[in-house]
Amino acid sequence: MKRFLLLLTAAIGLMPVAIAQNTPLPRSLTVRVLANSESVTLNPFDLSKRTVLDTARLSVTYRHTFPLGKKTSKETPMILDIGTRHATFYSWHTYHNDSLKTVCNRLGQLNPPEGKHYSLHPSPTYTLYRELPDGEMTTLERVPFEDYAVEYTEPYRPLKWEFGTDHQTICGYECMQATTTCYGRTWTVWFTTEIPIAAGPWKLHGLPGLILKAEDTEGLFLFEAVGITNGGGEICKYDYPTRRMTRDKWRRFEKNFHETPYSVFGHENTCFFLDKTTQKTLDDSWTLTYNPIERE
Amino acid sequence: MKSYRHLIIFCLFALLAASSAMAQCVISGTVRNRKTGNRISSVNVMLQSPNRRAMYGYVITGDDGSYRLEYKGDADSLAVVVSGFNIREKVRLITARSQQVDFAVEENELKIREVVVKAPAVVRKNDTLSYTVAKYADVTDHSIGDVLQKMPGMEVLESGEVKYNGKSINKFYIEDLDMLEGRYGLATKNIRAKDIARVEVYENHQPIKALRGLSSTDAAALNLRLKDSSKGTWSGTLQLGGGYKPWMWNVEASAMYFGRKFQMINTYKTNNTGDDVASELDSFYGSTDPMASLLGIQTPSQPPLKERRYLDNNIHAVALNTIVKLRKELNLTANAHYIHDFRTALGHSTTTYYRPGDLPLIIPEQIFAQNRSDRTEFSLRLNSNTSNHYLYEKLSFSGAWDADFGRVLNRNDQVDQRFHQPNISLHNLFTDIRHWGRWMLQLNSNTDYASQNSSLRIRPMLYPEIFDTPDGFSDARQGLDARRFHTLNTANASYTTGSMTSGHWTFSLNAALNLQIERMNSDLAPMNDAGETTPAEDKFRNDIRWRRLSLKLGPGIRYAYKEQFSISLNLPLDLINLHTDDDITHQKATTRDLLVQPSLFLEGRIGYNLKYSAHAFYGESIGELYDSYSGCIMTNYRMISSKRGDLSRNRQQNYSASLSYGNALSALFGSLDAMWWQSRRNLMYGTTYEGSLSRIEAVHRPNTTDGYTLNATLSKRIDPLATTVNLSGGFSQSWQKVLRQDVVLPTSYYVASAEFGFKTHFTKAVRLDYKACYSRSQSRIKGQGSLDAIDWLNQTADLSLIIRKRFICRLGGEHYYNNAIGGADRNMFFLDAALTCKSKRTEYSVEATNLLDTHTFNSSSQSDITHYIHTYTLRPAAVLFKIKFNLK
Repeated sequence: MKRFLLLLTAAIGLMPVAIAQNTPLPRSLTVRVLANSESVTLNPFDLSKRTVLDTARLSVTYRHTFPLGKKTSKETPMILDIGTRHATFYSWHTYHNDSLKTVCNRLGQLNPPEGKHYSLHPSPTYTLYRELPDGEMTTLERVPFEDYAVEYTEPYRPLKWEFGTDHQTICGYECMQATTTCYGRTWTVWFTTEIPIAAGPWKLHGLPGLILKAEDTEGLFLFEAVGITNGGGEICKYDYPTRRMTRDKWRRFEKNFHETPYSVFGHENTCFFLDKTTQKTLDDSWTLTYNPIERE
Repeated sequence: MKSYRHLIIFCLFALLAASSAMAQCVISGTVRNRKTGNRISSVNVMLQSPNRRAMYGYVITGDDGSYRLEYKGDADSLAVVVSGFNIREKVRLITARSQQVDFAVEENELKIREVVVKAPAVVRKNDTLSYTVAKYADVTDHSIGDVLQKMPGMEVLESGEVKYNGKSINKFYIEDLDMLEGRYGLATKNIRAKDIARVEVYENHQPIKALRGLSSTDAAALNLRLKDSSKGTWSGTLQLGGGYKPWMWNVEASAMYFGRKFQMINTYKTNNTGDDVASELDSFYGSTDPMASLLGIQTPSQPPLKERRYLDNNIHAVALNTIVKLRKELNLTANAHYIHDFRTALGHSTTTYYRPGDLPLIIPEQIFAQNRSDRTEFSLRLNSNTSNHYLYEKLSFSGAWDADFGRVLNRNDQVDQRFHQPNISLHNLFTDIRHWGRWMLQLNSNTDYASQNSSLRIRPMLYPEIFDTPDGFSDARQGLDARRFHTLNTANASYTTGSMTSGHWTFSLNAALNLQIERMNSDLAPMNDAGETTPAEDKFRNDIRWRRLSLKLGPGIRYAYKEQFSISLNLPLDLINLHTDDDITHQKATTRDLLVQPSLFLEGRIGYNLKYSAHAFYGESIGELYDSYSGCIMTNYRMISSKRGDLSRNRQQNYSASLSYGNALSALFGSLDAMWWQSRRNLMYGTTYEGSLSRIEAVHRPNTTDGYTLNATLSKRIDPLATTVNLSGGFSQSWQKVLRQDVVLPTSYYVASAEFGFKTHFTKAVRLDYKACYSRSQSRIKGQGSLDAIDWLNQTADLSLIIRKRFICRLGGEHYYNNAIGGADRNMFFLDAALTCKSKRTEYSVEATNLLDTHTFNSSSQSDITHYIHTYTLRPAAVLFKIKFNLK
């Protein structure tokens, strides 16, 4: 028996040497760095493949405040591009990272060019597309840490607005106040009839003027216009990997990965997460505070 | 009176007038283009207060340009406003009553007043990923190995080896210096968690800077970063432990120093509790090619249990490691260790050899073995690692002295064996890697010299009939001296086109020059009580000089498309010139062979969750010296083998494919693997039994062995139960021909196995792990029936309770079942309990092992057409107290 083993060892002894160069490497560990335990990483996508939907005739930049974690809130720029038949609403940081990734791919390098960096700034995960004036709304939700986005479509949902008496000047425009309840939250908005487009940040729309400021009554979410430009490039739908599902399924999944992100994204221990602020790894006990902008 | 009535009537009229004003009024109309007269749709029509401050309603004109607004308020007048992106706003003031209001509007390009926004700042991103282990280092952990263990995805084995998801890390640095190389077990088990500020993980770590960017790797490396307070100072730990049954001690001491340019870790460990502390001195990455060790005493077969259950040892181990930073990126490392170990083992085995046309041969043996080994190693290493040039030069000396004593009771025969094997070797390893642009050149030289003189003395010799024995020489001595010089030198050049982020090709050429010179002398001679031997007959002697020169040339080509797909093909050709010189038979032979070993490998991903890989390999090889010696060698007291001096030639083929699935959305993971292999040999090794003596000889008889394996795994996390469930199964079958008593028997063997387990965290404080493994295996002889199938079952359960983060209580149980064992021993149970209490500087623990005092472990297995039943005497029920504290 010992002889046989010896023979086998000798005979196969050359095999590792021969196949050393192309021995399959087992799956490896992926480590992800988070600025803190509440901010998840959204992988940047390559934007080179796209379908042009429309040309923007107006581009509004909003300052968006949203809650992150139990007591803190973050501010990030969001862009609303309005064309004739389409409007899109997206996060500036996400777009910045996507563009950087596209450039890297085009140059054939893994890292961004000198002086440029990927942004780790937390931002909302959604990108919205709406067919004007009353067409369906498509939402693309970036799944944290994953290489695909989730896409769902909703039919036109008219909002019931009630007008208030408050007036404000935002970005130099006279704005009127209105209120509505949308997806479980009550929103107070200020819109201007000087810009007669029935559009607004996020999924707020349907007023006879552009919404320049929107706030929820709990004070958690805020959109405030800080910049308006004529024209704004093309409104495009990008061809990156997406998975279609119903809105309900997405909401269930979103709730699930907020409650147990490690088990959803940990990939059976091939992926582990590092919180840069506390310098700790995150394990099964990690949760993300679930405070979605759409409560129902 | 009359004036009052007028007042009332007036009031009534006023009221009426007012109420009629509060009545609903409808305002409708159409909006047309003033120039063309066309109706305009999708423009806003708003109803506001005349001062435009209040909004009462709005609507968008339909396709026919019409609108309809309702007003229910009490204003006297209203403003109707038409606005749209491409029209000039028009305002009409009306009285608040139902009416039709039409509009003719002008086209106008709306000029929006622009407001400029400032661009936000962009955040910097770090390349190095680091985390502190402070959370874990509080109370529950002492050495950094304990801490790493807690990290998700990390597995720290008992030996101290660290794996990520089953793959070993490729480098272990301390403050970016690789002092311990593969022996990082020393660090994971000894460096205190308190001294570590951070553990950094380098993802996709390519430790060779010159290869960065050229070759991708998915390995990871660890780097320990120390707290400033631990740098530049000596620190240490001391552990004292004692226990009973038998009287046990367990002492460990370590002293460490970490400076910016100088690091040192020194440890001394000694115990007789079954802890194999020498294993932490085993190198985990890379391994040298040891010399074959043919001779040995009979030892009981080790059970598949944790060593602490059965290892009866007495070990002392000292290790010294230092690293000095000579210059930026040039380091000098020195490592030295010495181990002295004395082991005792007691067991029983029953081996049943099935013989064609005869009754099976059953050999029962009661085995007692003692092994004393002294090992030492000293090595010096110079290492330079810059982005253009990587240099590695290591010189090491090692020595091992083994002295074994064994006593076997074979039915009524008692045989004593004494074995000595001193072994000395010198080894040099050199690697140089340079790169320019897309070119890379790698030079490797691996040279070693080893000398081994072994001797096996057997008293009495059970088969004196093989000798023409003079009286008085009833014992036997087998001596085997071997010296080997081996050098393997390779050069590899490669060129890469394309880019890492799209398709790229790599062309490489490998050239190797390999020289192996070996000399083997052996003699088997009768021996008398005084230890003197008579001269050995020629048929029991060997004096072989063996020289092998091989020139290997191998082109390779690889194509990879991003991370989606890659395929590589290698075609090495090996020209071998082998010269053997047998001074006993006076035969010289020179052979020249050209061997090929092509291989193909591909891997890729489909969609988001599915990964696949496939591998095909064909290889030819010729045997080594120990496959072709002609004189007989007695390898143990009842086995004599001879290879007849023929060169063995083998051809293998191996094809495998695997599929793996990972879905985060449903927390489901699985994999499928399949492999088929075949091996063709020109020689067969036949066994003939004379009584209980086995004689193994090589016979010219081409034969084929083949087989396949299939494996599947599945794992799912069930969130509501905080549980992960694992399932796996496998089946493998092989066919081979066995030569026994000069008869060729075609045999086949299969193993079917299944495994189920779950891990639950009820809360942070309670943890339950359970695993059950089952397997069934059987050997068959074609046309003659089969051996009895062996069913084997193993279950383990582990319960851990963490109380207040300071106390850890552990309860563990194991169960083994083997149907081939008779009687009550078919089932074996083990129970352990442990209680640990940690405070700031000290750790106290009480461990109770084998509470059920299970005496022996029984196992049964088959290989080709041989059945084995082994029994091993285990350590008794024992309690061990340990105190570990930090010295500073």
